[in-house]
Amino acid sequence: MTDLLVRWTHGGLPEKQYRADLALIDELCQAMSLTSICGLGQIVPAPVQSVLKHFREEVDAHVLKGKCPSGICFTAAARAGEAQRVGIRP
Amino acid sequence: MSTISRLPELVEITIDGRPVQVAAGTSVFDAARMNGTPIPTLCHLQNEMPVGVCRLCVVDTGARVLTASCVRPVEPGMKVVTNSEKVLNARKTLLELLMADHPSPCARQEKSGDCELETLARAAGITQPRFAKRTVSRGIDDSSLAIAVDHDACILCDRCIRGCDEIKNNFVLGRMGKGYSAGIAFDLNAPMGDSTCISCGECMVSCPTGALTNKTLVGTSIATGPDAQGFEAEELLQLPVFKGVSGTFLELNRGAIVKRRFHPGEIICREGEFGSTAFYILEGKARVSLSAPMAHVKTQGGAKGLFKKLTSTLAARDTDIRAEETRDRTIPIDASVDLAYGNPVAELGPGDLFGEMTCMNFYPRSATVIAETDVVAFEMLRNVLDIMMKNKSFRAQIDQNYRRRALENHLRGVPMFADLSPDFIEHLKESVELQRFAPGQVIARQGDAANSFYLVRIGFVKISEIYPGGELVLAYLSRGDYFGEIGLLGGGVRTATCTALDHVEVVRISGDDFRDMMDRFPSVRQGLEVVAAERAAQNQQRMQTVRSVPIDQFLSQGLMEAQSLLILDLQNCTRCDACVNACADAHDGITRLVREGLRFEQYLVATSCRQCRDPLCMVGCPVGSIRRRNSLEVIIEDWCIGCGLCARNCPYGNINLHPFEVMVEDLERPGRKKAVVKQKATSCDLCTHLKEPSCVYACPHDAAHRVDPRTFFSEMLGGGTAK
Repeated sequence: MTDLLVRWTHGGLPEKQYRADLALIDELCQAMSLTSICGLGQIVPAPVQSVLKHFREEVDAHVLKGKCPSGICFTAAARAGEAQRVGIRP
Repeated sequence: MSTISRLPELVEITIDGRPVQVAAGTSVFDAARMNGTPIPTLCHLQNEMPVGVCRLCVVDTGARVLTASCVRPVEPGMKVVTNSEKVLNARKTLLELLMADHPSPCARQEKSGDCELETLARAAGITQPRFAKRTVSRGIDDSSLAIAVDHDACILCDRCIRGCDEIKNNFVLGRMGKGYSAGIAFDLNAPMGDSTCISCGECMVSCPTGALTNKTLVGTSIATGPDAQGFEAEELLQLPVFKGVSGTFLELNRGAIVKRRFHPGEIICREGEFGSTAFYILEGKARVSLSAPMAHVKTQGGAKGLFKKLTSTLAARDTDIRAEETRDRTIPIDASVDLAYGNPVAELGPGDLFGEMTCMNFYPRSATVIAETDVVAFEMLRNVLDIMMKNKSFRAQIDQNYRRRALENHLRGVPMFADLSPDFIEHLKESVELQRFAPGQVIARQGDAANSFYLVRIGFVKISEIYPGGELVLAYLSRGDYFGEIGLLGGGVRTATCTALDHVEVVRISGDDFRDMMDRFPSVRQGLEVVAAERAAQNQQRMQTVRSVPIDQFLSQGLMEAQSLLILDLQNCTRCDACVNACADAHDGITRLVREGLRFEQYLVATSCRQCRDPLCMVGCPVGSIRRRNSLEVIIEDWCIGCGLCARNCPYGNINLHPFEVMVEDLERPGRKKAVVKQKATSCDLCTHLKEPSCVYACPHDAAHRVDPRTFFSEMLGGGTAK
């Protein structure tokens, strides 16, 4: 899941790939919350599911167009900080 | 009194809308399997404790999340759904995740085509996993001579770890690392070849994927003869009896199992022969019989002396019946049936396994098996039999055969149980439990609470008691014997330790059933109580003597173990050999006494059965013909097949095999008889038909005596401390 989400943060993903990823993430979230052996595992997908449910337009804008409606992401400063946190090279 | 109440409580659940009843405590996984709805799994093996880590066996029980069925016991009213879209989707995603990291095809898939993960993934229609492949390899470990390790193919199901720890108790395998680098490790993550691993192969047999596979080093093969047909692992996996067996194991052992065809009249195995294989009948019928003539080495008494011919004969059984043999008895053999004493013939059919004792414990074959129709059978070596026995459904089938065919004979063969009513035996058929023990394993320990009664089915059990300064062997029990009644009838505490000497299988009757039996059949109770009291008194007496006799060189000569010694006082003996002649006269020209042996002070301990307390000779007799009844002497029953094992086992050379010429049915040409030489084991029978042993009676100088060594030597040894 991390792999998929990190790819999204780069922005500019083709729409077809994005749709496929969304379906995959949905399946994965279902499987994790239903079958995890541990309570922590069952709750791991919750933030992702919550974001996709309530902030879908913002996610779409980020991933497809590489734009941040709130003007926070994709600035140099944000990219540097974000890169450090999730382990991607800026 | 109802016996139903004592059966395990039944629980009613619904599986995919179908109501089923299973015993309380059963896992949902087993409940579904037994009712024809197998649930896929990767981490659960029938012979290991379930852990529920692969999550593939999840089912919907109506809870917030899905439940791993292998670790979930059934609950009354539970509604289980094993195949809804929700469940199937979750399983598919899990398989896809596993497949993303799986080096497909893995070593096992390549070699024997039975990687469990790849099989399941293919069934779920997963070809190209959408998840990213693992970027960091966990590597391979090629350091072991016998087993190849591919850490990348490992799915962390822990089956190998449980096999190593729970089954083999080697405790070599464990887990290491976290996250992506988590994997199995030998010792403290040493290369397998450098670890304390003994290459037993259990991990490889347990592994569902190609993470642990065999490196074929040496080929075993029993596929000899024109009618033998060897197998490829793939072919074997198709057969129902090998369901769930690891393909990599079968590939390693493909020479250890062959399919043989026998024509009508062909001999499959012969009694007395040594072997190392077991047979499993697939098609056809076979006749199992004892061809050793049912006859005694005839004893005529010492009176006729001079004019008796010196050759001895075997008296036909019906002309010379020993008084104590008149009751019905069965002869235990190495198959799922017992043979009746009067007519030792039985039939085996498809699904019967025989030769198990020969295969597991390397005892001689106990009976002759001849094909009656065209017979197709598997012949297998021990490792294959072992792995088949781990398969629960195969075990259940074998157990069922035993319950159906031999249990009743087995129970009725014990004289005390002759009065059991048919309905109670039917009840026992359902409720007894068959248990297996490995060599050295303790079945019941002295001092433990007694809650079951055991009948020995296969192998030998040592009954021993702990006394200050050591262990005292009270008896060796073999098929047809029983133990555990003293603890149950007495204070509910085990009075002795029962240990498996070899691969032992026992029938366990629960304490409840046993008490029920006691209540319903007072005659059984009486009989058992008498025997239990006798056994207890004997044991008590032994303990007393053990405490009172000084143990020095006496022990070193093994005299301690004897119950009755033939001693010759050398100060009186003139070496006239009258004792030996008398013995020969009493036993049709065959002496069972040799006037030589070890010396103890002025006494010569002659070579003649000592009736040991610890009768090693009894261990291993494939037909249970050498045994002790409820008396002192060790008796060789007349169904002895002459294999000679007891003679080799006797440390003192007191058992000898004598050849007798007899006419028997020619197995190769039915209907005709031929003269053969049959061996029978003989040993001193204490001339039970006479007042005292002939040798003692015949000694003109009062030099020969049959004595209890402990009382006889105690004054000499320790200044009269014996009581």
